[in-house]
Amino acid sequence: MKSVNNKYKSNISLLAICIFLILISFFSVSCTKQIKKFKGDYAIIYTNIFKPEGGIMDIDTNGRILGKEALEMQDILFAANSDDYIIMSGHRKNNNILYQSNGTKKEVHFLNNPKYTGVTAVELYNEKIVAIMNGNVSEGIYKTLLVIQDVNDKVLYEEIIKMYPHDLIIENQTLYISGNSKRIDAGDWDSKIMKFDLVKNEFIEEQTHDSLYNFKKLQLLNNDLYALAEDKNYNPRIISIIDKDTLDIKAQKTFEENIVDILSYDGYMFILFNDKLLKCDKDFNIIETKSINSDTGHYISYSLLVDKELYLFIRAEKKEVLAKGKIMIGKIARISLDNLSDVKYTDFKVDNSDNIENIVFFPTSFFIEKQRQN
Amino acid sequence: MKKVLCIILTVAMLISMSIIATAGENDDYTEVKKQDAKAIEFINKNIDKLLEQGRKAAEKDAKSNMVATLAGSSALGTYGDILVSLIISSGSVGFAGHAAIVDTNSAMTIESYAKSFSPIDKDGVQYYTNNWNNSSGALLVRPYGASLSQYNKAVAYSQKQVGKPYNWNFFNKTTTSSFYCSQLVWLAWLDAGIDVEKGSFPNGVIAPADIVNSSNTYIVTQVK
Repeated sequence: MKSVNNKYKSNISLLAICIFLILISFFSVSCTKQIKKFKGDYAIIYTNIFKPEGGIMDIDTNGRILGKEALEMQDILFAANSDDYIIMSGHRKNNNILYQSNGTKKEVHFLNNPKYTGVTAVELYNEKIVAIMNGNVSEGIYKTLLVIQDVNDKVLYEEIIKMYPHDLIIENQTLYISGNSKRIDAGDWDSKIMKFDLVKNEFIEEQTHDSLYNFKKLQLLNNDLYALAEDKNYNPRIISIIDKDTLDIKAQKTFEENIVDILSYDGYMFILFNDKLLKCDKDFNIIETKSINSDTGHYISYSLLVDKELYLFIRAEKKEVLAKGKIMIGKIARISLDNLSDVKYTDFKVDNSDNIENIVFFPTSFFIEKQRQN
Repeated sequence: MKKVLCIILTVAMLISMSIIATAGENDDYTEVKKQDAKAIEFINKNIDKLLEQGRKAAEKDAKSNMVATLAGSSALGTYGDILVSLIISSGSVGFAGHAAIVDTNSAMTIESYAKSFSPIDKDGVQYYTNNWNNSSGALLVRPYGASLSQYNKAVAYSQKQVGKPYNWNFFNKTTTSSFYCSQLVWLAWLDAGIDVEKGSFPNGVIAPADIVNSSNTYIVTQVK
């Protein structure tokens, strides 16, 4: 009886403490500073991989931190952008942050359920978001969920697909999905690409290429698809040129180093490695080479093309403690794709690196340009 | 008056439900969590020594000619390697931390992550992008004396479990119909021939800290 009473008392105490903590948290969140308007040049979104803890920083091109805001999001790993929106998405948790060019931001949960797992790929078009939510094995095949949701959270379409996508690209109401597919009994992944009509909401074509392991990134150039592919040893060194109609591979080039990203701009294909950017024509003839990231122990962890500028995060493999206790996380590079010699680097240094695990960012000029046009 | 009475009764009911729901559970896992906390405290106290021991072991292991991380990426480890984080909650009530196994493709991991619910109604063991090299404090752990074929076997076992649900009964660690994170890693390596729990505290639950504390494993590196 004494033991039960003690247990009762301790549970009451626990409940009281919980209520107290909830009240404290409520007031803490209410009083947390928010960045109402960005004053700097870059909006950096950083998150913890396993906990919903992170933040947003407003920094200028000299690396000065002009504003800070707490963010209760987890594992924000990649971004997609259109003329009017930028979305940054979570991999292990269904939390996504959507910025509009007028400066507003909102949290998005696909299927309006934050308890779901995260996404493997995301893309924007018009006022809609296309996302692939991580699924699981069912009937011997790894499956994921294609979701189309508008910016007002209305779910427009969902369909289970038999692949693990890594990238999405949209042209003229047609969605191309690249990634790989796996039959559990086959014990191997094959690269896969699918084509979806966004007006009729139906799949038009799909192709599996068993000579390759995975299509990681997808771009459009001169009426063809260009896909960054991993070989069967998981090296992302191949770029395949794929027919947009049949999804057959027309041509392929293998490079000697791992490729970080491919980008199509102004009729050229830009190929990003960890230490250089190549500007090529449609047949991979090199027109110009730009060295970047000459520091050893650094690698490019993130890239985003906004208008004609390529933004990179060059991350230090080990955080470096500088004078006065500052911690160097890495640097931002802005490269003009019209003139590859026009490059600006910005150090990203912080006082406290807690929860600075995944890092994505975008230029705040995304807001300013649109405001100027208005 | 009636409203006040209703509110009081509702609160009383909630409190009662909370007592009933948590009493037994707390008893089951209270000891386990205490032991887990001690195990984590031991690791943190001795981390420099463990890293030095691990560094020496890694110089002679089967993967000594491979880099521990996928060059130029956020991925940590190569196929079959064990990844452990001790400083986060995986959503369980039985222990702290999270564990994963690196897939054949080092850019991916196989994890059973408690907080994720799949939109195709199948939670549990899934594939994720391997961005563990971003996770401060994360540990790359390997079993002593493992051969390359054993690494492959551990991965192959994990791959076969993808799609199985999350195991919320942490004491039922030998079941193969569902998995929690460290149970998946333990069974994968047991299938490959190495018990990565051996030498840790035997309390019926295999926690991520138990894998690090095992006499059969060593820490190759810690993410700074």
